[in-house]
Amino acid sequence: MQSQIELLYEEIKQKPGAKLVRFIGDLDATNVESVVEKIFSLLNEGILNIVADFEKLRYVNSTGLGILLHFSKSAKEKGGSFKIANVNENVYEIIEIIGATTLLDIYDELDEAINSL
Amino acid sequence: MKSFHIEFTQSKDAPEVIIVSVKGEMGHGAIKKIRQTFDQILKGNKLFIVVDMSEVESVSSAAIGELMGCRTALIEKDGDMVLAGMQMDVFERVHALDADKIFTFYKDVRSAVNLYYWEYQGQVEQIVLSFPSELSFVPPVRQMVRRIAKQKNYSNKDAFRIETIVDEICNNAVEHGTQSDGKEVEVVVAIDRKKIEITITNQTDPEKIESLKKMSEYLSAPQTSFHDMRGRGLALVKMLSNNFKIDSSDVGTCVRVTKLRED
Repeated sequence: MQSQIELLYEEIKQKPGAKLVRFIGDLDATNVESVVEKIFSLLNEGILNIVADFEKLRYVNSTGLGILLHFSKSAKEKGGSFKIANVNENVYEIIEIIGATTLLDIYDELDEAINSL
Repeated sequence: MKSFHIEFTQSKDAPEVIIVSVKGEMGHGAIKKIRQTFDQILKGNKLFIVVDMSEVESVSSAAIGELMGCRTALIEKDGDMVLAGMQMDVFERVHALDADKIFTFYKDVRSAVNLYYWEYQGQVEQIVLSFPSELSFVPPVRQMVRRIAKQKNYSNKDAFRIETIVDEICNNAVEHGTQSDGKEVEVVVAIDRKKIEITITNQTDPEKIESLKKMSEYLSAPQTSFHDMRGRGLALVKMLSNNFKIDSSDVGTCVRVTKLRED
């Protein structure tokens, strides 16, 4: 039984080569592989700028955080970016404890993240 | 219109607890009687009071104010007062007065008396769970422990931290444990008002002993690169908990974590 995670994709107006991805549910060791597959298929399709909306991401553990760092690093290596917005307080605390706040591009608001592209 | 009536008795289940039964309409006329009753209880040195409001038909702001005053007097003496069995329309009135931010409510007297044992008598509840050593069983287990913490009045933040602790240790227990022959991971949760103790035990796969040793070394001096995908889980547990101990042997590994209630 996997934890439930759903990724919803939306185009970002006037930002070709960019996509908004809404994460819904829990990101953990049981579903990281499917998330890796989905995000890397975007990067491989040439969508190099991704804005991840975490408003409805309830939970993330160290394995999930590991893949977020991996997305960020891979997008940068390809000349793009992986930006995160709307992180809830609990998830932010986990990111902070791991020391990843400086390694991930995190924005308070979705608009801020999109405008930074 | 029903007249106001108030009386008190000692709880049969918990002699330290006084049950105050109020009936009818708690209007301005009730204030004097409420005060007299509470003065009498305080003289008897009883400090934990459950107000049974199941037969209250209406309540005035002045009566609620009087109950607030009584509760303040009890809290000053390290006691408390809770409300039980309130009907919905009465609760709505109390809510409109913002008094729901001050009082704790229980569906009945029995639930409120249980709270007394929990909050004031240091009662510990223990839950033992075991699951096959497979990753797919970890999410329901961690979510169950979070719900237990929530049920025991731990804050959302504490419950989330507890969920993370259980998740990370269970993931490691599965990863480093034997995953065949129906081997299981055991999770023991002992929770009281002030802390939760979590003990997670697996059966070690002899081929993974070396990685366990490396993990113990890592925990004594974490040096993982931030871009390293692995090795952060138990370091995170260490940061989230107040006490962390890991014992490994040829047969299994036992991780013990204590997390104090913070909020």
